[in-house]
Amino acid sequence: MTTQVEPGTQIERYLLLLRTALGPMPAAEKSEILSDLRSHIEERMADAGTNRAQIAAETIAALGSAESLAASYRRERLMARAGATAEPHLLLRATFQWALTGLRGFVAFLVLLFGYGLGIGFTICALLKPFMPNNVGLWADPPAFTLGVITRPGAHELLGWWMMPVGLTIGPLLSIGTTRLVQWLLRKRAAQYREAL
Amino acid sequence: MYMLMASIDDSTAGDHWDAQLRKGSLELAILASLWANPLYGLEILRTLRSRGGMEVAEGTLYPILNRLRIDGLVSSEWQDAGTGHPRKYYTLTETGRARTRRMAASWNAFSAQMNLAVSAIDAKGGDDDNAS
Repeated sequence: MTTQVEPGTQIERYLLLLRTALGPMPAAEKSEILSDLRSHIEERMADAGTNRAQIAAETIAALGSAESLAASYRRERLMARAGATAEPHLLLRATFQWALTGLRGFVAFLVLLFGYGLGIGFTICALLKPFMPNNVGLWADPPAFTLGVITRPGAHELLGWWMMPVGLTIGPLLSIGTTRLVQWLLRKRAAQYREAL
Repeated sequence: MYMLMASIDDSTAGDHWDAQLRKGSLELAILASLWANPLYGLEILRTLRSRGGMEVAEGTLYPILNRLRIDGLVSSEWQDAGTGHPRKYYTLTETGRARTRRMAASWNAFSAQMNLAVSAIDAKGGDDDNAS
């Protein structure tokens, strides 16, 4: 004997699973997605007339599991955002999410952090140079190079007053270059997702 | 045995290519379905089926529509259709209309080139006929 679940219960259960599976997303967009699908299922049921429970079950099956449908939504959202934004905090968020899924994402995230960090470092050093001329610069501090403020003796500063023009040129260029590179990587990843759909 | 396996591999590769081609053109097909007037989700599916014989999975359509909305290519509006539940109608935005026009032009040019490129091939196996 099979027990037929009320269509309303089936729909609510499915949408609840989907809400959870969609993960972090603006609440308004999540509600919109759920309303879309609720409307779709109800439309199918209205078409069918009789045996609404069966039609609800069939429609839910046609939509796929809540997890796979949520994954499709997340992929498509990423495609919409990837490459379209130049805002560092959005790029950081998108790349961080990517980093959680695998090695490539992790490397992209490191590239983003390194590029922005170096770009900001050059710019700040250039701006600080007039105020701390003997302590700010690019230092040969064997076995490494250090960009920033050093107060201990023994390190050799390489750029001198060139720190200002070099920092103010390289800093913004590094930030712009990093943004472009990460946008390209995200677009490439989005294209791969599109092929995998 | 090798011939059989090669034949299976060939067939699978062909199916995969066919599926990729359909997926790649799905965005244009969805945008084109909205060209004449706003449609709701189920109507888009029916239009794709009736005009182009395209069977699109319901779980594929809605995430794409959501992306097209975020991209600003379509807008959406809930309307009370008098059916007891609201329907969400999708409309091409001006940007979406311009993009669809460009995509359709590219598609037409590309398909014309491909038609020329494959014009020598008889899909019913003309090569075999010539050989015999």
